[in-house]
Amino acid sequence: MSLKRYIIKRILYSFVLLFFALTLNFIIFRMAPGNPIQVVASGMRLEPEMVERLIELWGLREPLHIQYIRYLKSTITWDFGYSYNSLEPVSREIRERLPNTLLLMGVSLFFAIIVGTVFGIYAAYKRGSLFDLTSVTISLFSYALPSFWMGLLLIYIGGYVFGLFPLAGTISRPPPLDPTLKVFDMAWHLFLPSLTLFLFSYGGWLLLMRSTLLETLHEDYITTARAKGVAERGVLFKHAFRNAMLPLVTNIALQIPGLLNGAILTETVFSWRGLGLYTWSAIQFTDYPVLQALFYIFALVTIVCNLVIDIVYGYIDPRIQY
Amino acid sequence: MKTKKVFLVLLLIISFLTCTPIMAQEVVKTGPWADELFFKIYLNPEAEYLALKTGDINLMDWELPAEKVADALTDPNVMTASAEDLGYYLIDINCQRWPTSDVHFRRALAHLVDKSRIETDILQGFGYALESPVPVVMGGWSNPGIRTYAFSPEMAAAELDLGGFTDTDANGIRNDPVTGEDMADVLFFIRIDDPERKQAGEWLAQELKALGVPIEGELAVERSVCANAVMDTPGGEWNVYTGGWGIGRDPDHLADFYHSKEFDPECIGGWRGYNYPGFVNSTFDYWADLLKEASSFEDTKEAAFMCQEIIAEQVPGIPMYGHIGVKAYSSTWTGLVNHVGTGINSWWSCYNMHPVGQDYGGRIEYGIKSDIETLNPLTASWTYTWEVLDKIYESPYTYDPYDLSADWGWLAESWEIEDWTSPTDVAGIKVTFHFVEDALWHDDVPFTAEDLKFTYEYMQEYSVPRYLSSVQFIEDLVLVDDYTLEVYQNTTSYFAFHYINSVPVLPKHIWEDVGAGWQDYDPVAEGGLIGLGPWKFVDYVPGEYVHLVANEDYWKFPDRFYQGLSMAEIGQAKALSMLRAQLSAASIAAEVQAETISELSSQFNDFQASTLELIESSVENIGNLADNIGILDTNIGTLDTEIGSLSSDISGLETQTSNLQAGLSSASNLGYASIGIAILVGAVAIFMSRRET
Repeated sequence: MSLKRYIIKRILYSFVLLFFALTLNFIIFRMAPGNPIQVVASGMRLEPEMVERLIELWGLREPLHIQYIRYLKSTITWDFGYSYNSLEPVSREIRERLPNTLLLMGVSLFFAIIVGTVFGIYAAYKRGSLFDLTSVTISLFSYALPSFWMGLLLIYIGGYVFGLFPLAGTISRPPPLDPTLKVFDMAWHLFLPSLTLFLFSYGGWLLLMRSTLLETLHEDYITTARAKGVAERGVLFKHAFRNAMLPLVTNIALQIPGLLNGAILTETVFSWRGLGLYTWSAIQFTDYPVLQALFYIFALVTIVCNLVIDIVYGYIDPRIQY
Repeated sequence: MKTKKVFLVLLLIISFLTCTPIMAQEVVKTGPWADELFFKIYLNPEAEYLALKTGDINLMDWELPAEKVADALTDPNVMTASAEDLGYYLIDINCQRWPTSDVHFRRALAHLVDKSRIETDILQGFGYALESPVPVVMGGWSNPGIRTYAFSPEMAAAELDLGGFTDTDANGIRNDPVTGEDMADVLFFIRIDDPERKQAGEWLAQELKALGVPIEGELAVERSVCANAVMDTPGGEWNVYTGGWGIGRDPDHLADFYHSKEFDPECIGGWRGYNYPGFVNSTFDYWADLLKEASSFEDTKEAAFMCQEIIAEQVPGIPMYGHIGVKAYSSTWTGLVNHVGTGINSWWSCYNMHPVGQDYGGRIEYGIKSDIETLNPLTASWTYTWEVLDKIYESPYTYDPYDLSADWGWLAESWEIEDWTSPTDVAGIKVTFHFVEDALWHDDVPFTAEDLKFTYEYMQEYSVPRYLSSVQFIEDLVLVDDYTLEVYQNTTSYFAFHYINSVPVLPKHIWEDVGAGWQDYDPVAEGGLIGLGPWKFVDYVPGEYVHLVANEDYWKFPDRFYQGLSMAEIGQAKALSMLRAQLSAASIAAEVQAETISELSSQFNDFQASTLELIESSVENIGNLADNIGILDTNIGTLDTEIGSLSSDISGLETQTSNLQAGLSSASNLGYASIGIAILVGAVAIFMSRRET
């Protein structure tokens, strides 16, 4: 099979997968306990006739297959309806929160990958050394600490005791008017929450890089390269790292959908308005439209990322046959 | 543990003592007195509290937990105030399922709820026991004469015995009086997401077990599961549940929660009504109907009292407790109003508060612990969103923050309520509102009664869910003139007057263009966040802050010093205000030294008098001397021959004269100086005395 046919086949599989994800998404929320009418009516003490009108307004008594068709149609056109909780358009609420989540998760993930990878390479190279032991211990320690606790500690020390960092928010209240100052202001606010997530996650990348590199460094071709007189730097980066990189690339691709999850605890601690807390609120309030929208987006991004990584693998790994 | 309890109770007493003066804070009906209102969003309560301590905010919205109260009391930058809230936590009992369908069993349960232990051990002083579904904080609506159930396992056992639930086979498990067998397990659903209710539920379950009543584990469940297992199955497969409600200022929730028409096991598409305990009692229904339909306060109160008596007798639920919240604010602000049921972070606080040492001005920085979903008044339902919106929008009237039953005229200065019969022969009421004539929308368009008429019609036409209950009884609206509106409702309920107040008055000139698109409408983006309230919208950044400024065109805006001035003049006026404050401080210092000044003044007066005497005597001496000189001149001619012999005499006299003149000159200089000083002192004394006056 040629690469082109391989790609087309993968795309078709992805569409089928997406269809199943959509259907499962629909079924799960219809089977979940709780009732959206409870959410709205319980706070308002409506007369039965008024409740009837709400049920009709939201089409909650339509046959399931009608609801399903309507759901498929609206999802494909990115019309996710209105939140049962806020009665606001779901797409608008997601749009408002998405940039904050991408910024926070993206920055912390980026630095976690870079620092974790670099430290992991050096730890593997200097296996058994003090650096290796220290970095592994610290990464395990920081991974074990609860992220919300770390966040609170950073706020207390950095924000309250020393007054160096803000206590909450993505920007100052009110923010500076100058665009350049605004960027610096946002970076200043981003520092503590991204540091929290970085401390929580960089250890995983370090350990992953270290373990895969250690495995690779024991391969025969590495011994051959050394025997041929290749410089140690060349052995490490031209031969070992390139092969050890594959699991790293896979993991990065799998983490990308996770960017959208947000980090509920970190967002709450730092009052960072993102999708994590939004998801949690939707779960609490049985907000079907929001949950369906978020699950759909998450499934879509996961499927797309898997597709992309499959195609990328085809290029970077010569062992892959199609 | 005991020491901890004592400490916490003492802490509560101390916090009450420090809080008490706030309760008496006079409510000023003009306002606002601050210049700006800044809502800062903190999703993390810890961060919000730290922000109060550092001065980033000066008012908090949430109740402090016990450990924070201790810290707040020792912080000179923080003040606290406590208030009872309108939460109502109870044990719901299924009146349709055996054995809780037996009234003796339910009364036994009531005797097993140890409210005093709940107060001390669970609430730790930050709550109060409830005997009625209408808490005492609701004032005259609460019936003090209902039957109560003291914690007593012995009395509980006696009730069980009365119901026939005795342990006939002495195996430690009571027997079912119907079947004679050991009792079937009682299904007890305990909410785990609320630690207080979880603990209270677990204690009750333990007491029941100790009396030989079998319980099927204690089904500790999440809120969403409870919604399905309990609320969605009224009278279904459950017996006991740890419930809770937020209630309003009116006691009509009694009818909503326990009227038989709210019990709908057949289900109408998912919503099964509020009466999931399945309490069906025709006498209660009679009084509940009267509660909803009576038009006079006396009849309504009687109905409320009877409903409470029946509930106390029949026990479809066991009221447990309400919360006392301690809230904090900055010590640099004053004028806050501790609203009953709400606390210090009330609408009236924002309306009245101002910095200490100033009559007005400053920026209120109000921390809120949740994101604001939207600023669309038709879709907003979240409490924190309404913290913002109720500052921008007005309702027809308001009520006393210290007495929830006392309505106050506001936008509607006055009103009449009369009986009315609809064309379809339904008894109802007619409310005639008389509005103020100088209210302006934030875009300077005058308010008229037509705006309120439009608001009601709009909410009916588009079935806006949030306001359906407010407008559902309105049958007709008649505009009498620009400032008079008649509202006809097809209900005689005393509370109907409150229902129609639960709406924000919308500007017709803006919302008539919105039409059916109210759900998608974004008033911030469209520039339509226009209200009548004391605060005008400036800016909103989602998840960060909302910025409001004082509405200086508000019809109740106080006669502030710089009203009508330009910004430059306002700056000067503020500087002058500061100077006044400084002079005020100086005058206080001056008062302290008034006696000294007075004494000095008296001394100067004496000195002045003696100096004048000296001058007078000097003048007299000069006069005498002049006379002498004259005589001597006369004698010079005739005594010409004696000049030579008298020349030495004359010369001596001249010397004397010159010495005397020098002395007079000094004296007069001294005198003039004295006079000058005396005048100056006198002027200062006069000035100071005038200032003192």
